[in-house]
Amino acid sequence: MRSSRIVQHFTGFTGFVVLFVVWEAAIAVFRPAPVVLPSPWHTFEALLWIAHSDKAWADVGISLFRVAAGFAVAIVTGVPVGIALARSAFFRHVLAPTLEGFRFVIPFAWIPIASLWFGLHESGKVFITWYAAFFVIAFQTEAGLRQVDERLVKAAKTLGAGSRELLRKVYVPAAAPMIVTGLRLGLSFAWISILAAELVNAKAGIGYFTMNAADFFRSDQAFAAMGVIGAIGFLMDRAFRVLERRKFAWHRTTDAIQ
Amino acid sequence: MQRFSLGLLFPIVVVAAWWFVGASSPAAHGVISTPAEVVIAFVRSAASGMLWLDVGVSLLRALGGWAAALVLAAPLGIAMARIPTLRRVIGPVLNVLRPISPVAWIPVAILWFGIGYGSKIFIVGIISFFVILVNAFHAASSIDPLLLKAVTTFTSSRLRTALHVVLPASLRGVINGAQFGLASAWGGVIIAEYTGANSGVGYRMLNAANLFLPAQVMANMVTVAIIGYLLNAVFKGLINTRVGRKYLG
Repeated sequence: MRSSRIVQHFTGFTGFVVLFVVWEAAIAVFRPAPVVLPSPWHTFEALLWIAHSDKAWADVGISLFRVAAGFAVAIVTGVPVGIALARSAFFRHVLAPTLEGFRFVIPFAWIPIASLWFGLHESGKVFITWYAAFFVIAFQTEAGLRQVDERLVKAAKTLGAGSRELLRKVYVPAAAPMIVTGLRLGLSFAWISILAAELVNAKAGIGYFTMNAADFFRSDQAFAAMGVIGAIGFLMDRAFRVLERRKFAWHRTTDAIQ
Repeated sequence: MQRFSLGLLFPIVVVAAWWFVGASSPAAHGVISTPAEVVIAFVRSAASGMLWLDVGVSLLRALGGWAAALVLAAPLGIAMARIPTLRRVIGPVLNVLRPISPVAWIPVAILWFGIGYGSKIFIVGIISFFVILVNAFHAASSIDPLLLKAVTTFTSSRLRTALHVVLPASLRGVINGAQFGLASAWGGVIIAEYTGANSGVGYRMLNAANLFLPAQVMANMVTVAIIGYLLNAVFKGLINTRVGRKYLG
């Protein structure tokens, strides 16, 4: 058992070895200009440079701030809207068709108009991250509340729970796993969207950093920045997945989408 | 009827408020336009042929990248689910590449492929690739093991098992992945056309924003939404035709 796990780790490692060997071999054989394809070593050096650069850290910080702000607003707005969609027929009839329509106006499509409305102001970036996260949070919350076992609701009602207590003690806890899945997806959408917004219209942020590096033909820095972007995306996703597994082990998440 | 009118109520209020702000506020000039101006901009670009050209270019890029991703990702996802060695070798590499947001590839894609079709198709391809791969993988790895065991009593040919059991059982997941992938592809081409492009819906939209033409920007946003809706509807329609149901389950 133990040895087979070591073998498994070893085979997992071979993929990376192959990747690096192919990468190095491509450079040795084709001798591309460093602009086209930096060597793994140069990329690693650029990564070290980023780690020592205050400016690069500031760019990462600004991107994270934009995501955090938009994401926070998306939680505060998306969860109540989702609850209202699930609990009130009137609200659903009034709002659902509009929300369904806006779903097709993808977050990326708001970037030009946001740059027109907000210019370089931070609120434009926060608007984009909010928009990217809002829909999936609202719809996951709605779906979560809808799948709550009616027997739980009836039992709570029998025990004299009012509608507010019902919401706080039955609906929201039972829907929590799906809400958290919505938060995880919302955060990842917000992260993708802020990078897009920063590529197009920004003077700071890790997306801007990457674009800027490529504009100055520093593809080693662009590659290293992609590594940083990947690591942050991975950590965000992993944090929520750990939360889902620890807190809601009783609930099987079903999201083949991502 | 009542439900229908309630659903219309909110959009009407939104459009009325938008019209009021766009028409009454002098500060809004060049930033917000009225709904009528958006409709005019839309009709004008349709009449001049610009709209169809942009949509055609963007669709070609989106569908090209999506098709390439489908051809690569669907077989790879199924193979990774059924062949443990392949999964162990390729899986970790893909797991490292997957969290790198496809958007982050855009600067590199421009360096590699320039500003034409190549870089757009590359970006669209990356976005759709992982969506399709994950769905195909999930479908192929959740085939009932009893089914596979039962098959071994009939045939020992791995090829026949793959063709007659694994492939049909994974098809649903591949189709789901293809549908999500198509939506991602459409979003991907828009963002890819913002930087380093000189044609397509995304390019036209950002260009209009840079020229302070809000009506044209919003007309293009409507185009993005309509095409996104149509792509999804047409895909679902094709799957649901009689031929689609027969061959794709």
